[in-house]
Parts: sequence; structure tokens; C-alpha cells
Amino acid sequence: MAKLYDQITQLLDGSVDAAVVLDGDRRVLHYNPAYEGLTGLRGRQLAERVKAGARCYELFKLEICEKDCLGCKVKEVGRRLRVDEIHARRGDGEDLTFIVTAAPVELDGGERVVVETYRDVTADVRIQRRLKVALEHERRAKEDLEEKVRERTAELRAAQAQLVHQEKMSSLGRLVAGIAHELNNPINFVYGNVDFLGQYMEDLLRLVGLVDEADLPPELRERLEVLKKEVELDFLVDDWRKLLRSIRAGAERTADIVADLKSFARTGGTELGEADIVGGIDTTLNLIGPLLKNRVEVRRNIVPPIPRVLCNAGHVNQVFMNILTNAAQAITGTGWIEVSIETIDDGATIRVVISDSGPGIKPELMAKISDPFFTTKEVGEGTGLGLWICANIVRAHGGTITWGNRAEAGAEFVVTLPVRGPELREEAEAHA
Amino acid sequence: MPDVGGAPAHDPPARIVVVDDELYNRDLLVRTFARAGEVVAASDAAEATALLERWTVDVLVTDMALGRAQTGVELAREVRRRWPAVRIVVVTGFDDEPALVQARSDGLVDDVVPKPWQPGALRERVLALVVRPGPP
Repeated sequence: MAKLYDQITQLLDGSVDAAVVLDGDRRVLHYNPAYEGLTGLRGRQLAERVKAGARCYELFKLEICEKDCLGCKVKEVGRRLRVDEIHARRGDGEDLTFIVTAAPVELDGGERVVVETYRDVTADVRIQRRLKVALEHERRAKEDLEEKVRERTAELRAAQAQLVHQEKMSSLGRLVAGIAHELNNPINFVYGNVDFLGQYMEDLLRLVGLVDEADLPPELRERLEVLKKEVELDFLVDDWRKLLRSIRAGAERTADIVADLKSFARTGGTELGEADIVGGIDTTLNLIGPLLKNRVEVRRNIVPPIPRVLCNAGHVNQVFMNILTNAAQAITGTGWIEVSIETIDDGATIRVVISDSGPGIKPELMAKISDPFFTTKEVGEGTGLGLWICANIVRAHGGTITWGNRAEAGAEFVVTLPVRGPELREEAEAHA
Repeated sequence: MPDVGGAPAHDPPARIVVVDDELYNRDLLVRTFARAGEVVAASDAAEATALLERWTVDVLVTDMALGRAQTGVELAREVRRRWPAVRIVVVTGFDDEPALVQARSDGLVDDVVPKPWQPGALRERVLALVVRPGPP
């Protein structure tokens, strides 16, 4: 036994890892200086215990000693084994982590022993854990950062789109204002002169009538009858009033379009003030009263408190006037309109839902109804600019307008407006 | 039957100056007041003030946009300063124009009639401003 055993023990004594040599019965045959530190026993005490035949687990117990004795396994399989991250309590009570190896050795005399080593990796494990945590932190931070970049990019895109839209709207507004201005004069003299044309024609026809009734010399009478035939006087008398009506209708319709264009050109207005939306809607309902009378029931569903909204009251009222008028006109016969007003976003936004019992919006028209000049009304009854203007007004206020059909038929319009007005809301978001 | 005006409502008849740089609207303004009193047309502010220097006028009816140097409001300011008795009516396509709103609240302008206007309605509003001393 002596030669190999001595070599092994010498080697172990010089090792920084704790190590023991065990016999087949797990008794400690030899231990190195590093092992002493693990047991918590003083040199002499340990030596006495070993001399008295102490087993390894009695001196220094690993968490695997009872169920999974490594030395026992090594004896069975006959080769070196290693287990990582084994916990054990050192003699002084501190919990440590080890890499444990066990190797079977056959000594010169044929005796089989097991050499076990214990490497303290507590510090490494701790560092590894910290590293892992740090890496995880870093990964999450990176993900957060990416998410933030995505969000900011989306916000920037939205802001850019809004800027482009605003710029588009303001140049469109200027163009439209210019057109309205230029059209105003010609409409005015067509519209204003129609009355005179009518009066003058009536006067002339009265004169013609008088002449016709008069007792004329036969020669003049004959010339008059020829001329009456030539100008088709009967037709003329019948037709000129129609002609005048169509000129007047044309002028009026053009004037309506110009009025709408003018109100569109104003949607970019900056005269903001705190407005009572509920009051505005009530006034609007009163104004369209004749459209509703005895026919359409109005249901109000208001969830107080409704704050005053920083907006251009005239424009916003125009939006609700338009939606409510459309709703009233959509209902043939009797029906109802429901107006619901509430705040959302913790009171930062006011939401108005206007639904009706009408036929609803045809699905194929859903995307078109806010296009300029699109109308489902009879020719001459609507300019087709109403909802387009509404959408622009709401957008200029930083709000939204959406529409759809209720499950039970009937249309539903939803308008949201930021309580603190368009710019302030953007600032608040930027600070959030 | 549309109202295109009949005999003068005032004695002596109302004297009206109409100002518009647009020929057809100027003609329409003249036509609107022709039977209601005496009406003379001017095509810009300079012509209007030249007329007022020679003629005693009850009402000045002016378009807001006069095409040249002075706007309707500027003309109103000058007329108010030099002939405070003359009533001033502005016709305009844009009755919410800030300069006009200001002029109105400053009392420079007695009435504002939006375009397109109806002759009967405009005539009524303009003649309502003409004051004649009541019977003794």
C-alpha cells in the first residue's frame, strides 16, 4: 500500500481543495489541511476523531451524503464521478457550495479506497448568480429600450402624420377660403338679381297682356298674333317662371356650398374657450326641434360630472348639429335619437355617443360618408360637405369621430374630445 | 311676388351711396335702392369720399373688399370721422372677419349684411337707418 498511498496523500496535502481518502466503509484514512477548515474541528480534535474511526459524513456532511452518497456510487461504478453545486454547512455554520469529486483508487496491496475532493465554489456561484441577474436586467432594459424606441417611433410617426395633415388642412383651408371668397361675388349678383328679373318679367307680361286685350286695328292685331306664334307666347308664359325657379335654386345651392366651404375654412380657427358641451347639444336639439316634433323621441343619457371642454364652441356645436340633423333626417316616420355623454380617460376626455333608430349606414358606404361632396340625400338637399367638415373640426381639436351601425340597426356616431383642448393634451402626453 | 321695392319711404327720399368694386354687384346695389330713394354708386373708397364731399348722404352701403388701397372698414373709419351723421352698412362674404367684428363693436359700422343678400332684406335694413324728423 505504502508507495501509491504516500504519493496520493502528499499530493492531497499540497492541494488548496479539501480532500480525504476513505476506506470501503467510508472511514477517513487521511485528510489534508484544507479539509480541517471544513470540519470546524481543531487539529488535534480532528486527528483523534479520525483515529477513532470517524466516517466522512460524521466530520463534514454534504446534502447528498444520506441519499446519494457519492463515494458509494463510485465504488459501484468503478470510475471517477463529479457533482456540481452541492450544498453543505461548514463547521462554523456557514452554508457553502462545492464541486465534489470522488475517484476509486486500488492501492498497491489491492486495497480499494476512495479519494474525495471538495472545491469551494461559493464565491463563483454567487458571482455567476449576480452575473445572471445582471444579464437578465440588461436584457430587460434592452427590451424596455426597444419597446420605448418602438413607442416613440410610433408617436413620432403619428405626430408627423398629424403635422402633415394639419399642414394639408391649413393649405386646403386657405384654398377653400379663397374659392369661397371668389365665388361670393358672382353668387351675390346672380342671387340678388333673380328677384329683379322676376319683377321685370312680370311687368312686361302685364304689359303684353294689356296690349293683347286692347282693341287693336286689324293690321296691328295680325302682326301681334304672328309675333305671339313666333315667340310661342303661351309656352313662354308657362316656362319663364320655371326658368326663374331653376336660376334661383342654382344660386341658392351654390350659396349653400359656399357657406359650407366658408365654415370649413374656419375649422382651423384658434379661438378656443371653455365650452359647455351638454348645453351646446341641448341648444342644438332645440334648434332642430321642428325636424323632431311629434316624430322623434330624444333620449338624453348624461353621466355627470361633465367638465367644460376647451374648444371652439361654434365649430364643436356645428359637429353635433350635423350629426343630429342627419340622424333626424334618417328616421322616416317615428323613432328615437339617443345622446349619451360621459367622460373617459379619468376625466381627460369627453365622449358623446349619438345613436338613432333609423336604417343605419349601408356597409358599402361606411368608408365614404365623410368624403367631401358625398351625400345620400336627394340632389339639392345636402352639399355632401357636412360630415367631412365635422371630421376636420374634431381632428383639429385633437379628438376622434367614428361611426358604425348598432346591432339592432340604426347608426351610431361616437365623438371624443380632449377636455383640455388639442395642444395641451399633446403636451401632457409628451410629459407622461 | 318678390319685393323689388316701390315708392320712396322717406320724404325727402333717402340718399344712399353704394360702394363696390365689382361692376355687377354695384349695379345690383343701385337697382336695389333705385326706387327707394336717390342712389349714387362708387367703385372704390376714393370715389365714395369724393361723392360725400359734394353730397349730403343718409347711408353709405359698402362692400368689405374694395379691391384697392382701402377696405370697407377703412372707408367706414374715414366716413365716421369726417361725416359722423352718415349711417354705414357693410356687405360682406365673411361677416366674422376680425377687422369687421372690431369695427362693429367700436361703433364704426351700423350694420353688417352677409352675402349673398336678398335685395328686399338689404333695402329694409338700410332704410331702417334713415331717420327723418317726425311731424311737427
